Amino acid sequence: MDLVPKIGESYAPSVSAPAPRFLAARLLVAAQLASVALYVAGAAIPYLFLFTFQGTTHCSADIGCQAPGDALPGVLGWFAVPAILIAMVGPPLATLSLLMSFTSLARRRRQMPDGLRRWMYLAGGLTVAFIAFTLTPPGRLLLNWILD
Amino acid sequence: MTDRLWRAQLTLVWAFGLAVFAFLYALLGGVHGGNSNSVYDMVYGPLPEGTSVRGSITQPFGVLTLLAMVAAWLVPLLAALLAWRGRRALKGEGEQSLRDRIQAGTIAAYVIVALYLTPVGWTLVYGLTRWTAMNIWGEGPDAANLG
Repeated sequence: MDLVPKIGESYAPSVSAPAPRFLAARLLVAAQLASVALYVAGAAIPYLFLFTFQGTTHCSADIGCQAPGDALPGVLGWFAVPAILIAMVGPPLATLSLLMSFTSLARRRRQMPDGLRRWMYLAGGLTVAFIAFTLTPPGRLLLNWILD
Repeated sequence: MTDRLWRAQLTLVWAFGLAVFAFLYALLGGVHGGNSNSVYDMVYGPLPEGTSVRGSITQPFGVLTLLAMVAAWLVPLLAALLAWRGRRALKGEGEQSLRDRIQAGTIAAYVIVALYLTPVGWTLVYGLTRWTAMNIWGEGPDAANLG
């Protein structure tokens, strides 16, 4: 008998391999959900409360355009930092994360626990909605507010 | 039913996804001179009044847009082919895990074909083509005289 296991072969053939934990897929779901949540909480909701509900946009005739730094005082401004990054580089990166979701689901959806599979579909759907929203006029308005 | 078919489908999906990536990335930069609230204007509209963009073959990001443009043009043809090949392959017998992958790849190829029948696909092709031309030759009345 050959004492040296071949590459890819188990060192202890009699012990069954532990169930895969799908760490990368879980991280991907977490990253997708976190970026959508941060975008909504840090950019969309503040904009609604600061401007849209007052019936204005961030550019008004009397005080000019207000950047997030002017409009959000102190700690709230820091809270918006991740949202600012996500609004700028989020859509292209979200596209990459969707490609990874597809690859992972296509290869291993049958081995995944049911819960994880459902979360992956849900997070993927939310990410598509996020990308679509950033291309609509309100999404572009948010981006231009952030770029001010 | 072969692994090669699945690899081709995976390549197709990634090529389409990377073209979308390049499109979204170019929307963020100022290839077209400024950020508008309307993506439609940035793709199809003329440059803002009095603005010219200087083109140059040596622009590094122009190459990215160029590659994405090539992908955006080729993807619908390949998607139609691979959707058809996948559908035919799924009628035959095959190992379960390979079957799963080809099923996912075939659905993705159908989705891509469907997207090219909507404004999403046309905008991708038109936008990337226009920005590639703009990167190389410039656009606007003073394009030739800039810097």
